[in-house]
Amino acid sequence: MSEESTLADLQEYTDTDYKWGFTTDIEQDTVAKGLNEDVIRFISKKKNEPEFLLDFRLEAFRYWQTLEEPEWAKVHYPKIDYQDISYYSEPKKKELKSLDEVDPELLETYNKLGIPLEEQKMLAGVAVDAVFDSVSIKTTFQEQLKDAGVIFCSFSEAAHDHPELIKKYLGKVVPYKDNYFATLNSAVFTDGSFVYIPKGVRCPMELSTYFRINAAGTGQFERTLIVAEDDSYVSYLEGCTAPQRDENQLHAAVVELIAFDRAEIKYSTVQNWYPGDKEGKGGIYNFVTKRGRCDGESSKISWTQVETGSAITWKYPSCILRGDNSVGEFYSVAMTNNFQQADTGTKMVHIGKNTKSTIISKGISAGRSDNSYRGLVRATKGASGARNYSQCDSLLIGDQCGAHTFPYIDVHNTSTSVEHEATTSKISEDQLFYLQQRGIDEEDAISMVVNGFCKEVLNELPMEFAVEARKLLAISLEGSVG
Amino acid sequence: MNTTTTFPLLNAINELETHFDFQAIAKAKLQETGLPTVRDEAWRFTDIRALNQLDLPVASTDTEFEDTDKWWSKGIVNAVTVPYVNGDFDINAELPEGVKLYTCNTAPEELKSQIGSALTDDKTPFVDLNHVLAKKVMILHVSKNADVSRVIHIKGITSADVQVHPRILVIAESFSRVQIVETWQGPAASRYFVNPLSEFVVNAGAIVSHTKLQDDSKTAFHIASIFVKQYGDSQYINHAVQFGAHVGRNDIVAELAASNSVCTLNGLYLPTAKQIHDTHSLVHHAMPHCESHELYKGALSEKGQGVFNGAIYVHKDAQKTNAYQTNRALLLSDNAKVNTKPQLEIYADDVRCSHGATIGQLDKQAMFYLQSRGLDPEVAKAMLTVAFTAEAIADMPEVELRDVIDDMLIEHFSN
Repeated sequence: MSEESTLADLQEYTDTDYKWGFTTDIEQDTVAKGLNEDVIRFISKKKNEPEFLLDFRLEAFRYWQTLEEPEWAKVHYPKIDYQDISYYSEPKKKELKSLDEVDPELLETYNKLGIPLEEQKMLAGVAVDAVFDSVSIKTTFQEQLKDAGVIFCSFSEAAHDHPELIKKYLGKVVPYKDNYFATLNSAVFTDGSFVYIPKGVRCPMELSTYFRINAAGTGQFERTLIVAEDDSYVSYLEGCTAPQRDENQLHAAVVELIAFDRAEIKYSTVQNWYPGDKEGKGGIYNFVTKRGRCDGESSKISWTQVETGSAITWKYPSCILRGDNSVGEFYSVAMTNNFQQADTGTKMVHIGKNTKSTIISKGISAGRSDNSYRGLVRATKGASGARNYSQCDSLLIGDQCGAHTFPYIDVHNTSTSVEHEATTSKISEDQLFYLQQRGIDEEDAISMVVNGFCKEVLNELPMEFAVEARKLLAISLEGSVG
Repeated sequence: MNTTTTFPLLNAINELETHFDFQAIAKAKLQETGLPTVRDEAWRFTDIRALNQLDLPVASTDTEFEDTDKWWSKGIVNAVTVPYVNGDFDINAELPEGVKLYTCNTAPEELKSQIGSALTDDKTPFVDLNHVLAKKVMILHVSKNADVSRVIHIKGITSADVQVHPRILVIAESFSRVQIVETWQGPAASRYFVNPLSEFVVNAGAIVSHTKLQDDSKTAFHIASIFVKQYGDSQYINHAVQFGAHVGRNDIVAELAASNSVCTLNGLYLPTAKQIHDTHSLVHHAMPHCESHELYKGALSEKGQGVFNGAIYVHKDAQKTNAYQTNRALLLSDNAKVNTKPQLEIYADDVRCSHGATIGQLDKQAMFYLQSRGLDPEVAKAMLTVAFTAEAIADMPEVELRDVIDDMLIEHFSN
């Protein structure tokens, strides 16, 4: 294949527009731009929150004011003016009991996104807690989950109905002092999901939330908390698409997971927020703190993520392996194109005995993007028999992009084994040639090779997500060749 | 940087008059930002607070020193030795044919102008400190096409309770071949600080072997910066063995500035007691068709700490780069620590780059095999540990020295 045709193809496909870019025109109840204690009191009051949550927010805010924005990540962006963001926005209509009351325009948005709520009810298996900007509009399958004893609701509802659980677990995995963006989130978080799986319960369905950023100039500060009691199991899916915007939007979410004895939490994400246009203008800034703690013995937390969107991704889903024999997993595909920048990876902190972790990270960079893997594997002195296997592969498409790996490995005892491997290469022309001479066109051939490259990760996704993830990769990648 | 921290180590520069612009710049920079602390990313795991707090005088020419034989001395008996004592050396030292020794005052202009030419922006504050405090630059010039028959041994000796800032420039002209062994020592159980800065300019087709054996006092500080600049079809082979010093650190930066150059960086670190051995390597692949190979191995006992940070930077034009890096560490004690960070930064798409890092213990099957042949577990363990570590120096061209180091490894791990 000639270099020229390759470049032409690259051009063609990097020109592919963001297919999910549309905005919905709904009245928003938005607080004036700016961040101060009054705004935080306003948010808390608006949500009718218990006292302890307001205290938590204010404490976080006061601490946040003493912090400086971190600069260590390999991402570059103009300084964010935190006073130029509105910290609360919600659609006007609220307290809906049935779908009829839902704003038709909103339903239309969901239809475009491919999650028609009416059909969702019929489709067995997935309950959707749809978050449109900051307030949960509709929660389905509540009843069925209730029968099983599972609590799956929006964070604000949980704050009302289960304050004791929120008080007990909020900030226990990601304390408000954790990092700049987590602290900001702790001060201004607007909504999110709360999941509680009681002892011995295997959640009867996969839980899923579609996030969507809508109003211009509003940041989205989600807070998700999942607690799995002894011997329970839950699989949680999170998926995102966002409308096309010129202005950069900030997203600083916090996700906390806690798994007790023999519990298992599987957390899957497909992230496809607006990545900015071909000139690198606009796009979402995605600064997320995700962390799970395996508190109980033989507990397991598994992160799977497919990251194709956002102008900037700054995200390190981590596992603190405290319980003996606990297991942490991280499977990731991060794809960047045009001027996207991704600095993502994981932290595996081995504290308990015989803890195991697996890291499989696949980075794909195209266009003029930068894609970094940044990870930490630490085995403390007491983590005897700890075991880690890490594999970070990068695929480069085009000669303007960059792929980087920054793995940190700290071991403090003799019986730990850590293996780390990383490779960087381009799509093999031999493979493409082989497929093409079998009559498969270039575009499909690339798609096949890339899908093969990511297969280990995609296989970890639940069925519904695997389909969406493959589509997303195809949209972002098809035809590109190095 | 933390402005409240004070650095008594820098007292030596305050009263000093600078003679050149670069010295004045370095001095101003140091006075403004101070020395690194654990808050700096590149020094996160290497705690040098104890060093920063030392108020040591710079060694003078009449400082007394001791030149004792070491366990490795018999490995370099056939070499030509140039002692570099407390930052000073004898300009008239005898050297084999093809090699000339200069210092700033005696070097021809075209050599003098090359001082600093291999430095890159990856300088640590200790390079600045060397700029300000270095007394006599050692310039070794290997003439064109020279095939130097004997190993040149730069023997660094430091006295107790001083700080020393040796500076070395090696220029290997086109198609020359030279082997350089650098050793560092000081009085046992004494405290001092040695901060060598070496530059290697390896011209087209030249082959340079550079072996560095750091055997400083176990209570001393050794922070070295090595900058290598390679031109077309050249080869540079580095073997760095860290044995002594309380904190021993090598910052190696190699720039492959022209096509078809090959860079090999191998190293071995053996911290025990409370030693910290740190290696920071950075290979810049600036041009296409270059190769780099790295193999670093460490065996850590007692409260020893090993830090390894190996970066490979493939620039935009460096297509067809082949870069390979391995770091393997063996922890022999629960109180030992390893911090490893292999790092790839790649901006070219047609490259083969990989790194691997493992931290672990000896292979249980190998242990079983040896024991089933009647060996005691201790003996089996020592054998395997020696074999594990010796791999890092297996390709050392100075065979006699290598054999001596092998013997040392056997002794080191038999206890």
